[in-house]
Amino acid sequence: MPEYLEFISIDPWRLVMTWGNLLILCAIVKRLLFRPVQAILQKREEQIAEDYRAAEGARAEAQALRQEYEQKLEAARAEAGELLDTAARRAAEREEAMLREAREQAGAVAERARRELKREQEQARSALKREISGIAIDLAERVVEREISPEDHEKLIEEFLDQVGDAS
Amino acid sequence: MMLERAIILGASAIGAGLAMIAGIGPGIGEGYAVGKACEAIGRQPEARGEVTSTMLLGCAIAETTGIYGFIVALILLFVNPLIGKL
Amino acid sequence: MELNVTGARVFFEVPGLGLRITETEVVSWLVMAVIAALCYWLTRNLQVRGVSRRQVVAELLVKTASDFVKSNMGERFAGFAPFIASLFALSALSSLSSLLGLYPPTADLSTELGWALLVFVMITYYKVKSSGLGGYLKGFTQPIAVLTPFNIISEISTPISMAFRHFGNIASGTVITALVYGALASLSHLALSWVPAAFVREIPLFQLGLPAFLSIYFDLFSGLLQAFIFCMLTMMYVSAAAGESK
Repeated sequence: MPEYLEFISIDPWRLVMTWGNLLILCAIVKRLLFRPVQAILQKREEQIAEDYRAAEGARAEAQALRQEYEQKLEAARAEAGELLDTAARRAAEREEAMLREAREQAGAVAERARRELKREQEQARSALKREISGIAIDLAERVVEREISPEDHEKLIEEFLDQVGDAS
Repeated sequence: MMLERAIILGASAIGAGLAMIAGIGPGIGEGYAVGKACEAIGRQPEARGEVTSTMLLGCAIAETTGIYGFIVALILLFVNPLIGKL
Repeated sequence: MELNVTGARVFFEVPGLGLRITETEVVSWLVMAVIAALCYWLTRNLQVRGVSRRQVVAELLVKTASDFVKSNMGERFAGFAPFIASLFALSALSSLSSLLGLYPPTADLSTELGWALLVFVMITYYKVKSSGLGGYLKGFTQPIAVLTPFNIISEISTPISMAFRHFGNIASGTVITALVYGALASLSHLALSWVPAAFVREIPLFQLGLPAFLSIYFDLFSGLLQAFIFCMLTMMYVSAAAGESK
């Protein structure tokens, strides 16, 4: 007949065994379960923090690159604008130059025409002078052939003047 | 000898019965607590989980005195400590 | 009805010391071995990425215990998590071992009394550490000096009530289960009394289904709840004792 303990009984040895059991189990659980798992959690957190930092760095770098690129783009656009401006200006200048040239040429042509005209006028005048001298000579011949009264003299001068007047 | 044993056993039995009167206290108290918990759930159904676990926790602690009475009754009935004092 | 409500069975007695190895110790060692094996199995090949389901369970256990302890005791007691976790595991698995037919170590008062006394020592240590020995002793006379005996009794009743609450729930569960088994055995003996064959009459037929329902309450629910309450009360008392320094 195996021996049984009482329903309620306290035994100092069993108290000691209980303390020992609890403390040993606590040590086992701490060493076998809590430490490794907490180490892994710590490592994972560190890795995540590192990944996060690397991602931040990459993002900052990407931002910087983008800014640089945008700046370059701006500069390129400005340069293009400048080039366009210069080309436009040059075109305008050339247009003006051509216009001036054309105007000068036109002026020169006009000058030439005027000169021509003057020359012809001169020529015409000199021809006229020759005519006049010829007529004068004729007149002188006629005058010599007859006698001129003062009224005929005036009449001849008037005719002569009218002729000259018509010719000029 | 038999008479003394009989008296002691009888008295132990009566004592065990009287000890179980301590079961009234937790019954009333926990019933009241559960009623209040039902009211709380009715007022805010989303808090059902929290209210239920808090109620169970409180009931288990309030039940202590009832358990004390039960233990005394069990000891008187089965361990018969008073017979050893004969 | 044959009923023997007794304590644990004694296996072995060391003659000189009066040290008795009973069912309590044996089942306790069994439960400890199971917990240690579980811990060892859960933490093999831990990796940072690409975790296996085993590791998810291990991390879940550690994280639940740590969060629980931190939320109840504050950040400075985070080192208490292994202690509370092992206390809970030991208590819960000891009570649950009655499902396997073993004698639960928590049905022995010495187990709970040992744990409660350990907790009491911790509470007193933290109280003395936070307010000094003089402050601790003066705390008993605190509202009025006449209340000193009541304060002392209330201080002593802390571990006693913790122990008896746990023990009472579990032990009464075992007693009621034994009573129900005995009642069902005599009931089935009564029901089968017309059968001529002697051994068939002894078969406890009705013991087959009903005790399972009872053990859902008495073993599962009550065992887990009492373990949880024991740990909760430990945490609250220790944090209250240490928190009085503020």
